Amino acid sequence: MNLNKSIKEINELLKKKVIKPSDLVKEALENIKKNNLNAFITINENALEEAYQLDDKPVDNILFGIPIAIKDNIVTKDIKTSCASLMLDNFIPIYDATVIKKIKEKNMIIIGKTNMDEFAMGSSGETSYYKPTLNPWNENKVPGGSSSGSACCVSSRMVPLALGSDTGGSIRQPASFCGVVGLKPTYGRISRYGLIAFASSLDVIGPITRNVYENALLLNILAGHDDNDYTSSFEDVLDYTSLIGKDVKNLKIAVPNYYMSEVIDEGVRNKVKEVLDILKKEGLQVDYIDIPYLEYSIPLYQVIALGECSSNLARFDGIKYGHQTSNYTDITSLYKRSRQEGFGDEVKRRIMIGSYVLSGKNADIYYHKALCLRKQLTNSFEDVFKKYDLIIGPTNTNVAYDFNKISSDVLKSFYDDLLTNPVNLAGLPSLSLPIGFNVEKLPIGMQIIGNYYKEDVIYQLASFIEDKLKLNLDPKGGIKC
Amino acid sequence: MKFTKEEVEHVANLARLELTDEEIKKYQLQLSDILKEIDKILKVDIKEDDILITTTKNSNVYITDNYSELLTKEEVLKNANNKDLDYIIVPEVIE
Repeated sequence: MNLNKSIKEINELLKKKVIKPSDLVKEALENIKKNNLNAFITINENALEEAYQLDDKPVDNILFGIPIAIKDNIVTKDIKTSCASLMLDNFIPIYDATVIKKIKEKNMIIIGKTNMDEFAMGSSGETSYYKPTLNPWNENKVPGGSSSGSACCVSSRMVPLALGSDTGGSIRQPASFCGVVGLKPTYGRISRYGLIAFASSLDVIGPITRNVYENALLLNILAGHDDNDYTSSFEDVLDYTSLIGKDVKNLKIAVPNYYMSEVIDEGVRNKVKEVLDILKKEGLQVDYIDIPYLEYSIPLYQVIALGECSSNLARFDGIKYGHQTSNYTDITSLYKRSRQEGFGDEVKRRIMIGSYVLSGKNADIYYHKALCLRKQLTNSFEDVFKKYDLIIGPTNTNVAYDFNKISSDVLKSFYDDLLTNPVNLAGLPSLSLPIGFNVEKLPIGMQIIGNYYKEDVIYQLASFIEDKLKLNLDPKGGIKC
Repeated sequence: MKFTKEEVEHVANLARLELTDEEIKKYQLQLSDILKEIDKILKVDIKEDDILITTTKNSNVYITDNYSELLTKEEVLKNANNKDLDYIIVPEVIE
């Protein structure tokens, strides 16, 4: 049971040769086999062989030999990458995403590819072609999405670390529902090269971990400019652990009134208020404020994200790669039937709306208006950060819910992003931190939003709160790490 | 706005999707629900001369003019469904 230990402890044991990377991989594979949560789509069949090759190598960094799970929309050379879609059920990438290269350079071991909403479109994990992932805290509840498998496998302690992606809340929402720590970094902080695009101006890759410190450790190796992603930032990469444990008294906190309105479940609001009370008692300035245009974030997100996704998913033609229909007469019917068969319901709906808002004069009516509104919303956030260091609010309007709720309401998956998607539209960093449980023992998540590239300050406060709360976040009640 | 059958067929064609009659009926309602939500942004009174396309602060990103990695033909063709030697086979597009 070494994987239940903290990364620091595991690193010590590896250095002292008490354990070997192959022991960790064997344990992770065993954990995955034991669980029936449907967190993985593909297991890396070479994981153990790769670990054996590390067994005699010097332990040269803190993440050496640690197994990690990867969301199945991040390409991995020679390991199937499906985006949880029939469209890519047979797709074997021919290159590694930049984040995968970085993980391999640190001699971490990719254990497998995690389940998700199809093409990251969804907020419950239920749109996966490979059937939904279950919530480790209650198997009758959704784990959140779209990074459902990544949050689930860290929460259930199959592996200590995972990568997710976040376009409108897809890291933070499942992190909140599963009681783990998930960071959506600043747009451009981590290269998107090799992330199969959903909405390119919103997409980010980010770490999902059991605790704040390990999240920062993983960001340390993922952040940085990449020539293959011209939107990746040239800003200096920091040591994101450096402010952890430092005094938080001087931080100024803003709480948007919109984030604490009656739309939010009372139990969730009360837990956030308890945390705010801790902060006030510690001497931090906490003010309730208004952020103009927040109330338009759902329709705004729909225009931007669906417009971009309809364009991005145009590449799936059934010819160069991906599902191809066997029933066609000409090139157009090959395209249309391959896409008809290959895409699921949620994806079809979204690319049709996206095509609609970008077509003809609608581009002026909807898309141009959305770009103007996005500017105003972003200005609103920037104004807040002139006076405050961080913004706090709940991650979600409620806790994990029952399966099959999205099938009867096509707006449900968008409304689940109510509090998370404004952050993507503005490109800011935000972390979801578990802050307690509701009466049904389902985790509640709180969001800490920072200014651009201030992930270090987010971790500083998140770690302080984590330390004050000292929650046991193992669904089976194991040892805290 | 409510999507008519023809409008659903039009957007399905733009999105290169073939839909069954049953799907068209379903999407008429569902797309209308989503569009009703989207229409809320049309009512917002804002300046319409300042747009934001991306939040990246980069401008004029240049990369050095050399190659670092080359893909082999075998790799490029690896995932194609229908191929013959060095070619991907597609239906006839020129009459």
